[in-house]
Amino acid sequence: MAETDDPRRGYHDIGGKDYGAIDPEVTEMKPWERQSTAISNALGAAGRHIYVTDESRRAREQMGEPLYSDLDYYERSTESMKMILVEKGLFTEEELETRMKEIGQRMAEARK
Amino acid sequence: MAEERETHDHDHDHDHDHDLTFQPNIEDSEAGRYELMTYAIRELLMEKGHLAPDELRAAQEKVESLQHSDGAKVIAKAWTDADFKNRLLEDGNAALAEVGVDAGAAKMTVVENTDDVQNVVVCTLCSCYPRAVLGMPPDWYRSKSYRSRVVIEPRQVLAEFGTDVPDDMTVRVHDSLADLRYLVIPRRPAGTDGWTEEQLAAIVTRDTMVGVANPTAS
Repeated sequence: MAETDDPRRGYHDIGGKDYGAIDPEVTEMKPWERQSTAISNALGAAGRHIYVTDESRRAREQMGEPLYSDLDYYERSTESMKMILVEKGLFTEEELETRMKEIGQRMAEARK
Repeated sequence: MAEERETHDHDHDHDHDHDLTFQPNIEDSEAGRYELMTYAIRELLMEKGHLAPDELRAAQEKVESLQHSDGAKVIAKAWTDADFKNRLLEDGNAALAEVGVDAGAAKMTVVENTDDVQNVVVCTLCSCYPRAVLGMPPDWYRSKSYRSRVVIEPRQVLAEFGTDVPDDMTVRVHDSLADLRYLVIPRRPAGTDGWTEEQLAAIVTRDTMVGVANPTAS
């Protein structure tokens, strides 16, 4: 049996713990989740080779437990991609936050 | 969101009071934040030449096209062609390439359910999944509950999925990695003699290829 409270164990390494009953409900992938996955794939080993699987794993293990636990699957993968792309200097956090705000305003305008 | 006054520094051609600037509700939720982040990443990558529209379009189409029915066709072929099944078990990536499936860089290990063995697949560290043959992983496969528990009490977890495994049958749980994926060949059910590959593929569901369920002839 795995030692589940070993302090050397990463927060992502959850095999053998008990997170309770499994919810069998299966939901549809949202459009933005599909888009985030597509961007990640296009940048990946079969595409531009800017962002590969091992980097995506490392980012998940580096983002810290609070964020890892708060985010769902596709949020986590988007956060990981952002961390690595910022680290590589493709854009800055500030550029990204500014653009997110602009897009949010554009979307709000479009809804009016 | 980050501080508005720090990030709201783009050019304006209109006057407005920042305190009255409309803030979309979408920013209030985490989901909204990551949806916006996705669109912002796309725009910045395209503007800076790191991603072209046709590359994104092709990648998007590819994600949309992945579905478990591709895996089901592979299983139906394995059930009716013993040589193909042996090649699948020997080298999953090469055998899948024969039928036009690019399984990608990760090693695809194919395991077979027999009268004595039930195989089950998980990724405890993340949610690695054979997307090339099964599409995107279902919610439960990504859940912490499944990831944590199936390696320690697989029979109980299978029972929760309605799959009872006899005590004298071995359960093998395979923990995937970024570089290693698994696909289960389910047991071909009795009562399917003489069925066409198409008929067989129709009873091979996603869950049977993950190993949490078994196909039936009905």
